[in-house]
Amino acid sequence: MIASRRPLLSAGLALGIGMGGFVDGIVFHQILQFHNMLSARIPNTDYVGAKVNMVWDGFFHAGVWTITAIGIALLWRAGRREGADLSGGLLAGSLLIGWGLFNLVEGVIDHHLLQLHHVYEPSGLSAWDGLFLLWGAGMVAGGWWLCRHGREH
Amino acid sequence: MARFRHLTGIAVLAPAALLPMPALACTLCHSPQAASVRERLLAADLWWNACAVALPLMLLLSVVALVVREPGKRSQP
Repeated sequence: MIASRRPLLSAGLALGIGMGGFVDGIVFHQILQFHNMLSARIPNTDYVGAKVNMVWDGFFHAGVWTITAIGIALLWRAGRREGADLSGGLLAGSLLIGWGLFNLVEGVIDHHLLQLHHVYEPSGLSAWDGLFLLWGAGMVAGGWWLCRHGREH
Repeated sequence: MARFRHLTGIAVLAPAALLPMPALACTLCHSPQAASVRERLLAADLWWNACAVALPLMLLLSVVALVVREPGKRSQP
């Protein structure tokens, strides 16, 4: 990896991970309520279970917020680095790779290995969990392509 | 003082927001529901749950850390 690309790449990765985590938390946990952080271990179908899951969702969001804050700091650092590649393609690509990595890592660990929750909890481990991983892989591939081909000349 | 007339309503209603209301949905509250939530949260699987929630985020952070550090600096103590 060319050293000049590393600063913005790392920033974009962190921001992509954070933004991907927020999309998961806001859309799937809160708006659609397909699942919560521990909904496969602690059912969210009663009042206490739902509130316990809400607390763990909060800790998850705290972690995601922290990663996003690190991404902002890395982005600021990249802007100050002399000779750093600051192309839009690299930023967009790294954001996509970060989001895709979030889907892949969180999906494999939480949905398949530890089975803390599943994408659509009423169905348990289902095709939706596989699609979630495919979606992540697609974003990583798309982001990789953008990083390689989206440079400014 | 006429120009502050529109604030009169707010000044009258604001103290009402400070009145003690039953806050059943509070994690730290002294209610039967809150006690049940804390009991389940602080059960034997507390640390297992905490590590499980943190694990993916720590892995992802380590990926970022690997990218941030220059290859030469990784080998330095």
